Amino acid sequence: MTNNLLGVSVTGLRVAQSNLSVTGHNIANADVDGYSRQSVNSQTNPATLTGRVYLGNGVNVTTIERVVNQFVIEQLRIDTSLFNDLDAYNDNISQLDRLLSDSSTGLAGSLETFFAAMQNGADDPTSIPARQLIVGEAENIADKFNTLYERLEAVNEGVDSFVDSAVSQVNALTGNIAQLNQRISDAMGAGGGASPNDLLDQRDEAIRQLAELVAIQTYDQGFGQVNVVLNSGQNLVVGTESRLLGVATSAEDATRRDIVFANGDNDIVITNRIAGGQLGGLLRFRNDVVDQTYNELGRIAVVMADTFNAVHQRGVNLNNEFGREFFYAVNDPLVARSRVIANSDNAAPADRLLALNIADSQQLTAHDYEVVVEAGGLFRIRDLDNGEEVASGVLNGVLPQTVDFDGLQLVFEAGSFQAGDAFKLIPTRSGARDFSAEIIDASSIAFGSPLVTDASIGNIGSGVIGPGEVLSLEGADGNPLPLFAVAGQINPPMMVRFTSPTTYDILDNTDPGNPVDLVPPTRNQLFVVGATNDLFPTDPGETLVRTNGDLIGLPAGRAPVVGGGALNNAYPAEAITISRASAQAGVAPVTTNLFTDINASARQTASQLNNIEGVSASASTYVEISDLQSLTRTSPLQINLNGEDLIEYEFDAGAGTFVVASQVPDPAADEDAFNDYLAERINNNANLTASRIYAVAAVDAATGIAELRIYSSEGDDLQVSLEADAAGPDSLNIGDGTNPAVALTGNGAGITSAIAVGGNIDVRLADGLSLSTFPPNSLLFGDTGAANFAQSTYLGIQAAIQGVPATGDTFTLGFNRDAASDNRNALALSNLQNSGTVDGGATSYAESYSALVETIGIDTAASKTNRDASDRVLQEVTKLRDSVSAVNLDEEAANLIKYEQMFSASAQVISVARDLFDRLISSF
Amino acid sequence: MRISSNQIFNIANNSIADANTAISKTQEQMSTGRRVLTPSDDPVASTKILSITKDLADIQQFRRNIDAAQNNLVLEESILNAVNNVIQRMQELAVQAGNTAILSENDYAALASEVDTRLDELINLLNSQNANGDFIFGGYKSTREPFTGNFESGFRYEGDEGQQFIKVSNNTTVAASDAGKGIFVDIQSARNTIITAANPSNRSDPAANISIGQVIDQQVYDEFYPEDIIITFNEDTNIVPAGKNFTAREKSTGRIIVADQAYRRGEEIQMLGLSFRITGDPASGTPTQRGDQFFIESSEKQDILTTVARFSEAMKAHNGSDATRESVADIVSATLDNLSNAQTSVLETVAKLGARFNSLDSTEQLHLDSELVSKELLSSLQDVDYAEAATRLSAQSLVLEAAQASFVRVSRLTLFSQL
Repeated sequence: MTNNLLGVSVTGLRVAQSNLSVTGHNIANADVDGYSRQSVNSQTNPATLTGRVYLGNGVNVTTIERVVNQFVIEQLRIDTSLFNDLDAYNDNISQLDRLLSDSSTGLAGSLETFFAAMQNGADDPTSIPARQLIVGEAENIADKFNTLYERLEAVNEGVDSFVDSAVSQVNALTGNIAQLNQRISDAMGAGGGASPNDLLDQRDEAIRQLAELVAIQTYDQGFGQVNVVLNSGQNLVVGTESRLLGVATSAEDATRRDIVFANGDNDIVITNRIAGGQLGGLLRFRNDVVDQTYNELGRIAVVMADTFNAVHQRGVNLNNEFGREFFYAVNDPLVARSRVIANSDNAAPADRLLALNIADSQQLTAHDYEVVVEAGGLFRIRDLDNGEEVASGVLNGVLPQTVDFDGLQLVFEAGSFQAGDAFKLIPTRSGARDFSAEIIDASSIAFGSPLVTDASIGNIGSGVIGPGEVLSLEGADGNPLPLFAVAGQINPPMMVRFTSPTTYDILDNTDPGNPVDLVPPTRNQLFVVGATNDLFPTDPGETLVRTNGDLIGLPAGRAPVVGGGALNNAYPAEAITISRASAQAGVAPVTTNLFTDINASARQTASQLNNIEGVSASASTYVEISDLQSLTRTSPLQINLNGEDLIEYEFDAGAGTFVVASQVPDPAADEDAFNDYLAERINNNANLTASRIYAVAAVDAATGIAELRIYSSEGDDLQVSLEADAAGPDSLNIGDGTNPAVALTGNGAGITSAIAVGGNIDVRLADGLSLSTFPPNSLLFGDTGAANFAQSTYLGIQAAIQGVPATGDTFTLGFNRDAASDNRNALALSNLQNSGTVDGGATSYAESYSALVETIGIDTAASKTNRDASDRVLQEVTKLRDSVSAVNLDEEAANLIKYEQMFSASAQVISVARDLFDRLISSF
Repeated sequence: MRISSNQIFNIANNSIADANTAISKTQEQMSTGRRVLTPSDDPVASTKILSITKDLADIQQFRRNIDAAQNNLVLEESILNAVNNVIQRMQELAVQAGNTAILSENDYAALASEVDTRLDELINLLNSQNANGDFIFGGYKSTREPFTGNFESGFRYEGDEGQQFIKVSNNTTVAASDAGKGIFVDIQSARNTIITAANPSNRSDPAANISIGQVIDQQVYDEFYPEDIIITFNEDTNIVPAGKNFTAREKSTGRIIVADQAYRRGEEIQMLGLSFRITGDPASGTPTQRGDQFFIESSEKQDILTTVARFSEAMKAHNGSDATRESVADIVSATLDNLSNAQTSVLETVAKLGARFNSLDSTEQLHLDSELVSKELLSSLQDVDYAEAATRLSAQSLVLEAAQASFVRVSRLTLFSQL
């Protein structure tokens, strides 16, 4: 019995000792991360049947287990990943938030001071210090762009280097987990299934640390082993094996670092599959925020440089030169090529050369694009931000080939393009880096406009010409306009001459002594009194078609009609087709047909043409009458223009007949005076002036022969008839200014010799319209297939005349030489500050920048809120875990006392057993 | 719920850290005076702050622009007033000179000498420069004297019609200068006059010039008016012996006025009641190229300097004869008309300046008003409310102190200290 008692008390001692040592273990590990408190499970030993009773055999330790709640551990892992993701994102975006908004690093302040300097310059265009300030501020703004870019690069590099170290940490942790798996299964085997609590804690902690870096899931593999997979399903740890992650240069973009599964030569890129944890947060930051910021900032830089340069180049500087680039040239070949990144997987040889030009900076997006070449030379361009295809085409083998989309122009310059080639297009990414101020010399800032207008001091009317402006230096085809082809000139200078109070010609004024037609001619333009009359077309694609056909005017072979009869201009009927090209390639143009009547006047045909949208036709007729000196100044002499008799008769009471009025000069004696008389008769005739017919008596510049010039501004046929003595050699010549003259001769009283002359038509066709005839070689329009049949009318300048000009008034337009005080272009440059230039013209530079700041600000604020929320959740879960698993020292202190007492009690039992034994021995 | 020892420390750590963050934020706000430190503090307000800050900077610049415009206009106005004084004095002299019956040759000589002095004064005024050395009446061409010439050569305006505008608000620009052409040259004349010019595409080098010329027989010229004349140098062989010769034509019709006139350098040429000189060696025509050309354009305008110079010349030419007496009387009446037209032109410009001053004043007032409103708005958006911030700070310090104190107390509660 004593023996039994001793044994029982020893078991009690043993359990108390175990409990004490576990309590000591708990106290010692109270501050170890991931340690779970342990507790001893004891069990009563099986009782021994002694006679008719079961006698207890004490107690033994069955297990020592750790107190954990698996659900809480998993929840902790998930929340750790979430918090670390948001925290890393928030930390980094807060940097950008401060960087962009700070007054010393942000762009907003520099834009303000730059434009303030520009306005100071405009206030005082001759001041060199004011101009010098602009140069300084231009450099300052370039510095700002460059610095912001560098800071973004630093942020980006920070992300990259963190990715590097995070990947090696992940590798270390997964290796550790795999090792622990091994040790745990070994320990469980050796311990006969006893739980290796401390190893389990270590593994849980390693997995939790891994969850800080990247979101993972675990599942039990049996034998105490745990597998770890990425949220997207990739295995990181399988049993006792771990897979290594690596960092490699991206194939699409050599500046990028990708995360890969190291797999021999064939790395598998998993960058896009990483989510959660610090890695997930940083990659998300890099993709969503850094790229966007690069592009938005770059877009502002590109748009600013492009629009500013465009306006500056339309100006003229103190040295009488056109302005050069103010900021960097956005389509510099090197810069344009740097916007295309070839995929490193493209087939050898690496000979492909592409350039991405900015065609219309206002249309730029802040997106990146990808070009993929497919079989048969088919290529597709895809927007990488929204995945939409923006353009496609077929490489036709003729390089360079261009394709336009989203304000960009991609040029396939050279190389052997093959199926499978891919290129990444980054139109705006490096804009802030490339941005530089090209203006160095204060006097080369172009404040003036190259155009200067002047009203002749000899003008009699009150017409006023506006200062005029340069619209563009390039035509619809992108080539420089001829007007600005010579540096420091507007070539040709022009003159506007009023041929009547309501019509004017625009002439080439290179030789003011002999103004000639422009190419193409701009004659007989209609002036509206009381309105602002723009002189030039504003449509860069407008073309002019003229009637150059064989039957226009008074062609050889026309003969006068003698003795009355139908008078006509002998113009044929014509089939005219106006085609409107479709905006989409491969779609047939829309055509409008019209048919002119036989003998239709130029005025009628022009009126028919004017009914077509986009077509503006004007007609005019011209004849010159010469060699009138043979006319005899006696009855029946009469010259008739469009039914109006020109020579006055008076009643001679003596003879009782009508005779030629005394005021009519004798053409034989003074032809000039006779011509003057006829001109005056025409110009004073109400019917003729009502139909805008007027005449000028003049001398042919080449031959010196006196002539009477008759114009119809509306393009009516001019019908001239002569009734004169048949006996004399009475005759006159009629010409149209180009063809040989036709003679009208006298055939005696009552018999007229008459002819009708048709007019010219100028047809102005809006952009995309073309005119053709059937047959193509028209008798009215000439060869419609000729290369220069339709000539561009766009000059790239505009000026307006208003008021009431008089006949003969002239206005000149020329190069604005030595115009130091001209600040028109400076104002245009200042106006760029607030004009809509970015994003399809929706926002100004500054607005666009504040939109960027606002986007980042909102994102930062949101991420901060999310981070704080997830922080709170993580704290709660940590509390929950601690509340279950962490050590409470007070509890352990109590346990200590409890197990000490238990130990003492068990010891006391041993002492009693010894006493009993001693008493028993001594009793013998 | 079971509490672990770690939790007790963690709670203290977290709450003290939170309280510290809050306090440092409040302190930063109070020390900078700004409520919104980064856009993320209040993204909506910060966008408004950016745009209002920009508006305020714009307004400041516009006010500087207004100052610049006012300075320019004040200078112009003072010069125009001086010009007007000269014109008034000239009118007095002209009225005085009208007494042809009383005044003697000597009186006229004295009058002419005062007119000459006044003319010099006028030329100086018209060629006024601003502080930068720009000629303010030259239009865009402000780097050289806009009015050149003298009695002998006559006067010519070398500037252009350019007018400088200054931006005074987002959508308004105000003219800050006036070209001399509109004020002093484009003046209706009592008589038809001429303007001469050499064709800029002439080949002679050094370029041959044409004098300003004048109408010597108004009646003859008026018959020809309003036609213009082109003088073209012909081939030397057109005359015998061969030499430089020219033909004058009517510009609009091409009719010949005089043909093949021999040219003698600097000799006075007279035709159609006009008199002028061509100087230098004009290039002769060749079978392929035409010779130098000179234009004589009719005009009904006369600049103020020529008006005064003609007045002076007529008086100087007075020799007591009836013919010169008549000519003086004639010129005096024309001069009075022309001076009154010139005065109208100057006063009209002064009136325009007044209108511009008004518009500048009202624009500036508008700017001041909107600046005030914007500043208030900006302050309400970005400035910290000190009373609120101070209260917040003391509340936050209280929280921190409580957290610290409670931690000290709680951390002392351990069973081990009782063992």
